[in-house]
Amino acid sequence: MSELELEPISNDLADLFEQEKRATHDDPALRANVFHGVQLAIALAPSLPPAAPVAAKTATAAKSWLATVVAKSAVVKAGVVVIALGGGTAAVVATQHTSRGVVATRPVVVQTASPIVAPPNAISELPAAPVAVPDPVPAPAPESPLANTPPISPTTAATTTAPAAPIVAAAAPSSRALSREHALIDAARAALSSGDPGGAIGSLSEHAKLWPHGALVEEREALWIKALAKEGRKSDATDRAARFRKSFPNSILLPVVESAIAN
Amino acid sequence: MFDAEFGYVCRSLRRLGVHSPDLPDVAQELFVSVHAKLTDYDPAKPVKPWLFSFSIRYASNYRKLARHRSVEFIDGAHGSHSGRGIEEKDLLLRALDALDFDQRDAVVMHDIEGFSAPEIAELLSTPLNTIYSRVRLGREKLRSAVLELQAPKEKAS
Repeated sequence: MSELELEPISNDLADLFEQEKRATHDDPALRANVFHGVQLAIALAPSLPPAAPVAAKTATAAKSWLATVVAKSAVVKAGVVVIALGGGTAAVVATQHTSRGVVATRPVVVQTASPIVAPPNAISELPAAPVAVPDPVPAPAPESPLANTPPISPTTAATTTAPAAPIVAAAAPSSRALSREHALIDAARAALSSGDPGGAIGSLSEHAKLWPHGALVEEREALWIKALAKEGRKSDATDRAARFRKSFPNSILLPVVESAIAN
Repeated sequence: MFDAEFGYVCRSLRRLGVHSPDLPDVAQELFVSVHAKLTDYDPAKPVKPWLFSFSIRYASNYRKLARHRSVEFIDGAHGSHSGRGIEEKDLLLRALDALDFDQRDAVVMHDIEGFSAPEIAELLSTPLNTIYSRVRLGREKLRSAVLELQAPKEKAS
């Protein structure tokens, strides 16, 4: 069979196809929401891309993207954004970071977990939601991570003069532990992305049990609020968001939290 | 790129079966992936086909996961599955829901996105004749679905 052997499209379908070709899907609120989400995900990317030589033109393209993201960011001043580019370039936006994109006071970016999204080469190779293998020796587990703990005190790990978004991580975790934390957070993110907020909350609950004061508690809570909102549990999401604001008044994730509640 | 192509990507995802409520999350994951793969992009080539390859991968992944959900999707903003009250602009998207995923991909890529059958076969790693078959069967099923959705209210009642 060839292209020419396909039967002609009926007129009614042809009209619908033409109409669809002209259609766009541009919702400003959706655009802003997604933009914040992309910003968050890039900021929380668990690993830097491998340092490989890149052509100048592609490096420029990546920088252009970064410029867009950073220029539009209303939260950069919070001081915890690290955006990694290809070719060993790391853009650091804050006073807390080293020149290679490793956060000095808050080990969010490490080289242990798999990337948030590893684009496959073929559709059949699409990544499933990451499977988390929790630490067999977990920390004590409270029933509800924010409800039963005084979760949010300024971290003692901060060593710079940067204004503190209070973070609970009392000490820098090992890269292995952090990798496992990331695995659960990534699993939650993947579940949320696939329209499974219940699954996301399951992963987040597991994280809360294993690391009630882990390095990624802030990220966990932001995702949790988003998942609750997605599940339609507006009241729970609002309550949790209120605790989040109190606990992390300077969080870079606040816009994401506010957006989740607003939507 | 985000600003310029956001609308196109969202529309592609909708055409490929990502439902409106899930669109923000799928689009977010897609653009994060685009960011990670920017170094692979050749600026000398048009950006839309490159972005569409992301759309089809993420839509496919979404559908694999979404099919396990037991709750039938009803887009509250656009009425029920009966087709009554469907706006003209949504008619095609709703009718596409009647197609198998493979047929849907083939019809969307061939008849809306303008890919040739050999291009689709290469992108999907599928035999060329299979693509032709999917387009042909998909069109037939699509036309039936459109007619059904356009049926007058009294027929349904």
